[in-house]
This record gives sequence, C-alpha cells and structure tokens, in this order.
Amino acid sequence: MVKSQNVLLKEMITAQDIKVILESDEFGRELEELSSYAANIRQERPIGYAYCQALLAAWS
Amino acid sequence: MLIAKHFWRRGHKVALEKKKCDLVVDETRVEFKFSFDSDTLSLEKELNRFDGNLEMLMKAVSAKEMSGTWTVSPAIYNDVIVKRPEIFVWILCTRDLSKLTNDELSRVCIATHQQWFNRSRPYESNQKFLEAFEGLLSKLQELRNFSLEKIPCATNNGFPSVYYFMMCEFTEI
Repeated sequence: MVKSQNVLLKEMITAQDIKVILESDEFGRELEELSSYAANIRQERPIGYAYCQALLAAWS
Repeated sequence: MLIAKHFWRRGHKVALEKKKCDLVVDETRVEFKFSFDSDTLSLEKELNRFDGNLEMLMKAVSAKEMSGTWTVSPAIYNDVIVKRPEIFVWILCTRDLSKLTNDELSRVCIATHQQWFNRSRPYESNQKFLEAFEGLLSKLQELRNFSLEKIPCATNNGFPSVYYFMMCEFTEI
C-alpha cells in the first residue's frame, strides 16, 4: 500500500510545476505569438500545445 | 516523434487529448478552459438565474431548459465536478481592440462583442471582471475543494491582452 502510494505521488505533477512553465520565457514567447495568429479563435487548444512545447524545452 | 523521444528519454509520459482529457502528464490529468472577459455578462446572468445554485443550473441544462453550449458555467462545472481532473486551468483573456482597423477586427474572435463590452467596462479597469469568474470558482470550491492561484501573463502582439491563468489544484480526487 505504502509502495503504491509512493509511486503515485512520484508520478504526479503539481500546480507549482505548471506555474514554472507558465512563467518561463519559452511559454511567454509562444503565448505572445499565438495571441496574434490565433486571435480568431478561443485559444485553449493552442495554449495547451504551447504549454507542451514549453514543457519539452524545460525538460530537455 | 521528436517530442516522444525527448519524453521517453526523460521517463515522462505526456499525452494531449487522451481519453477525453485535454492533457495528461505522467498520471496527472489537466483540463483547460478558455473564456474572454466579455463572457462576464453571460456568466452573471447564469449565476443569477438560480441564485448561484449550480446543482439547479445543471438540472436546467439536463432538462434542456438552458443551453450547455452557449453558456459559461455548465462547461466549467462539467470539467471540475464531472471529469474531476487533478488540475484545472481556466484561462481568462482580456483584450484591448480599440486601436484595430475594421479589417483587423474581422480576424479577431467575437471582436464586435468585445468592443460592445468594453464600452461599459473599459480595458484599463477590467480586472474587475475577474470577480464574476472567481465567484463561480468559489461556488465550485464548496462542491470540490481546491487551492487557487492566479497567474497573469501580458502580451502585446497586434493589440494588448492579459491572460489570467486561474490554476485550481484539487486537494482530493
């Protein structure tokens, strides 16, 4: 039981992890660009992609 | 392929739109929703209709007395209470379109509605619009407890905008 709980905790990310990405330069640049090229739509999907891209940059 | 390789090397698993969830990072499910400040009026109307009672509001949606699509709160309720992700991010966007030409405005989502909204609630003072959105989040906190953090990100590419990332992290699943 304790082991499975530890595994679960290890494999979860937190709001703090997301905050670090949202405040990164990489994400800021993506958001700046998509605020213009995606101005014609509601942007939850491109922001999700931008988030993933920034996540990748942070991890590489 | 490149992204998958990077994640595989680092031992992380990331999936967009997996099993009807916007984003899954390792085992954490994250849902995103996006609203403009000009959605405030619709949101206020929805909340006033049932004195802020979300359960009654959702019953009206189920009974098709109220649209679940052309409204704000039912989709948020669905993400937070029904889908039950570990993290919910509500992106609230405020824009100043006052300097754009008609041609430029034609390429901006619900620009006419935005301009109409800003006539009574100007861009400079519009942090006040957050009260309505925070009001809904407070109601949802009564149903499912979460911590809330607001992260503003300003942009100015063609026109000034501020994106407020309202991050809700649930204390229990």
